[in-house]
Amino acid sequence: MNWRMREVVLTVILSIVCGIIYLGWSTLSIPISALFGPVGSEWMFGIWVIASPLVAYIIRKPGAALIAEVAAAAVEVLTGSQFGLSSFFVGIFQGIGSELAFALFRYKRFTLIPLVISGILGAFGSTIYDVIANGFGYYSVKLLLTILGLRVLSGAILGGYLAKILADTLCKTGALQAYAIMKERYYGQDQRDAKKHSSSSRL
Amino acid sequence: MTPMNSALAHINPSLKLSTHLVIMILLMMTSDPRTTCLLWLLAVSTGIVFGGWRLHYLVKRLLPYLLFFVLTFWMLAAFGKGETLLWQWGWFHITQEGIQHGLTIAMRMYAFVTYSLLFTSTTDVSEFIMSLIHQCHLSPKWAYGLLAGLRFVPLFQSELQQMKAAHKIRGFQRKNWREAFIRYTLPLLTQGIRRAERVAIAMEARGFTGSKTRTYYATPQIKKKDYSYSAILLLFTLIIQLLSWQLHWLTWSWQ
Amino acid sequence: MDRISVTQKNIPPHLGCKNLSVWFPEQVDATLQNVTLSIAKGEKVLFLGPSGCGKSTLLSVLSGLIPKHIDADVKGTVYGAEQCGVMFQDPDTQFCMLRVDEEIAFSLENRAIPRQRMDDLIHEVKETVGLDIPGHTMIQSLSGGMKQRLALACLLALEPDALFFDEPTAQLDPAGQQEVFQCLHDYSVKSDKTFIFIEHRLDGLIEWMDKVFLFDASGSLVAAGNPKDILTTYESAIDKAGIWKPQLFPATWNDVVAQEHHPISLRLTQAVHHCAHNAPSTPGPTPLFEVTDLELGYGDSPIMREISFTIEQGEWVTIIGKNGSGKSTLLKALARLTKGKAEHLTFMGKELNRWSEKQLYERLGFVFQNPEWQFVTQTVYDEIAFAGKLRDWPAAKLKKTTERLLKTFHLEQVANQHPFTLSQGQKRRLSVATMLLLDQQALLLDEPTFGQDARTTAELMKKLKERKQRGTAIIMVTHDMNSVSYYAERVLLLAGGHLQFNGRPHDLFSNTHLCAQYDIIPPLGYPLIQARKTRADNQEEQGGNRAHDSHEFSFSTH
Repeated sequence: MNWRMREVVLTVILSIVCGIIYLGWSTLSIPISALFGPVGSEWMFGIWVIASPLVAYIIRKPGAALIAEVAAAAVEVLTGSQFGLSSFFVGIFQGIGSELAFALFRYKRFTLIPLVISGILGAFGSTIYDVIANGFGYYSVKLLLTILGLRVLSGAILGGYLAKILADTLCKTGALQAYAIMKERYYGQDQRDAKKHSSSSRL
Repeated sequence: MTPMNSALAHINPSLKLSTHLVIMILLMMTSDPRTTCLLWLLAVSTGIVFGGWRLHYLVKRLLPYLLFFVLTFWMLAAFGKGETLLWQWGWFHITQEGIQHGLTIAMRMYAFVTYSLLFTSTTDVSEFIMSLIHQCHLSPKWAYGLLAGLRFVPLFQSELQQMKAAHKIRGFQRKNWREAFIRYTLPLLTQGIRRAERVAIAMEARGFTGSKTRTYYATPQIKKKDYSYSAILLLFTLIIQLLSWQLHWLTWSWQ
Repeated sequence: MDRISVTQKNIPPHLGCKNLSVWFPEQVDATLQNVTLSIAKGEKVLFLGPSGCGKSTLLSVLSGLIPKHIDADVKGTVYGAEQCGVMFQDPDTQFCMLRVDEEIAFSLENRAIPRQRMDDLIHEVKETVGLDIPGHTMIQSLSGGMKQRLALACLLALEPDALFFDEPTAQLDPAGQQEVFQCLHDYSVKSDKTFIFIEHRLDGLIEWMDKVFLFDASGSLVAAGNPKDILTTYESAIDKAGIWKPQLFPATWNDVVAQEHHPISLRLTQAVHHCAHNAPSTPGPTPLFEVTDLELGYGDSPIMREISFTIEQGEWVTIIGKNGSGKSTLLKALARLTKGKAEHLTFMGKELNRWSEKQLYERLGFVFQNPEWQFVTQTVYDEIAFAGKLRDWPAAKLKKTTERLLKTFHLEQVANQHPFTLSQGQKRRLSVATMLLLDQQALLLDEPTFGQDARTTAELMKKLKERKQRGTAIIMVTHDMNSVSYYAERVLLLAGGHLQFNGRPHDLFSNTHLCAQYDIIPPLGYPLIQARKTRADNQEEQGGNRAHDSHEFSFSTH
């Protein structure tokens, strides 16, 4: 499917905003995790997957979820964050997870359920990465499962559910008129990409 | 000499990035703290020799991550699995294996950070994106879209500061996390959406279609010196791996 | 497409439309209704109308943005130019690269110009617009006026037949505005391209327009003609629409200087009189703010030092200075939003740092440049009531006070809307209203009239004046010298990290030397009085047989 320029720039900019939110969220999580160990801050995990469901819910195109996470990660690299290249890897794993959720519904449904699943699969993706790169495999199985469980829960709520609330609030502000999320409300799903006929002649 | 006009700054960004990524993947496969440490030292010395890193710069950029180093080490040492118990208190459970793993992973994260810094501190953003178009065949639509968006990063950061101040004045307290989260993100997002729209229209109004039929003002190429950088760095990596294999240090992650 | 068949053998206009109507998908009413107009090649025209009248939509249709890049239903015939260039109002959102030469090259790349021709072409357009800076300069380091120069260079690199300008100076300060108009005028003289403008502030622009198209609020074309006729015939309609009227045009500077009884001359001199007799507030027992030796800045390098002044209770003070002079930083320091190094800042007799947050912001309100930053609720009503709810006001009192403010600021109609959906002017009024629920003693405002139309500005200033009469001190950062001269009792001028002037506006504006030194453009009345004096002197000396140098539209750039 062909992406329009405004959708491309929107994806990038939303990813940037998410990246800035991620950064603020990190500063909150560090002291908590230092005190309570790896499990202590895992309930906060969901925010870090919000870009995928948010962008996919607004743009509704195959690839949107994956691209959003990778773009957010790319932005981190390009702004000179030292964690940049690691977040790039995480981004790819999370993005593939989140994207899978929408693919499961063949990109036909963009409701709460796919969004929540997207958050959950994003949690799976990042845990897989953590096992491969960050030594999570060295934790006891019980601990690893607790971490995964908390992430899944958090991904569902702070990722998927919050993304929906956020996007719906954005709709109320009237900022999203030109995107699939609002167009479907006007024209129904079938016509979300169809260009409206114009009865004018341009010379 | 600063990192931005060092020898490394003149290496083709895409090739530089791929080389670093290859080493990072190798780091992921290595589960031995000594080998990992040597690979980290390789990054540091490359930075000092070719990347224009001065000691105070190195300290300033890498020292903050020491906290992560300690934290990661502590987490794995205290919560990791292992047989040989050394010390136990409350829910902390320190084993010899845990310490070993903790050191590896902490070293690995430090190496990741350093290879990242080696790339970001010596790479110009627009040059990198142009190189992505020419060497990695990224579509111009996404490449220019990325560049257009990146210009706003500082703007968003300062807006977040302003918003915090504004909320302070209004006496807005974070009573419930959902409300608070939406309060902070909503203005950033609406502002972002409007900007995205305006930038996209401005770009299209200037005849940008995103197609590949266009000419380029800057066309990064891969030259001999780029290949030699890549080759030398990978050669050293190989030597380190061989050395630690010889010394029976090297263990792989899957072993 | 075959032009002849559609236009029935008439020669189609260079640019224009016939029976054009435009609808946006989410709106019921048409944004434009049955508009027919034509523009000849090389004409310089201005679209004038109240905000929201669809002039911007028309510009987008003529330049081809609608319906190609912006979705809308279009009915009627459009005669578009082959290649167009559009300059937008926000200097920051029309670029996509990081450096000056890359940005100009982006236009050339889109046209698939071969690389070897690019350097010459870039050099050429830079020279045309007077952009005399190295190519690798970062765009973000440029001033607003320079950014718009660069935007023009990028458009010229497209080699368009027609140039469209959608409020190119709306986000610039007066100096930047004059810079851009001057640059555009210089270019228009040597170019045969068609220019189509939408602009709020007309001084410096209307003087060289060939034609004005006037629209009403419903999106219909009311009249078209030469600027002088339109501005005189439709004066009352223009006033009602809230459009900024030019200060002199159609009169010229020479007329006004020569004729003492010219209505504009009377108005301008009257404004000077008003300013001269603006009596300062009598100092109360304790000053509102007392600042001694304040030092402000980020990190080790202070941007401001040795700043000392007092502000009395109920006083109206404006802070002026160039962009980057630190006016906003100083204003924020007064509200404890940036911390000063020296702790010599007292508010109502008590050290500022000792106030509890809650008590401080009950007495002091701050209106941010972007109203959206300070909105914290979902409806306009809740937004105003917020501070009262926070303090557990009784329901009846809260309701009464909130409704009174809604009424005062004309927001009753939108009380249940989301604050973000309001118009620019409404948002601005709301942001002020939210800061007045607690009867704050001081209201600090950061460029509250920036980018607003004439009506919104006038209304806002009226409300602030009312507040001031009830005892609220108004402390404002602004670029608008007319409002400084009309309302302020005192003006603080910041430049070079120091407080350069602290006194009555009249004394500042009368001091031509000081104004010139710090690039202040005083209200027109001051140069008028000056010019008359010189003229009288000249006449005395030379028998009055020499006309004054012709003073063209560039009157306000010294």
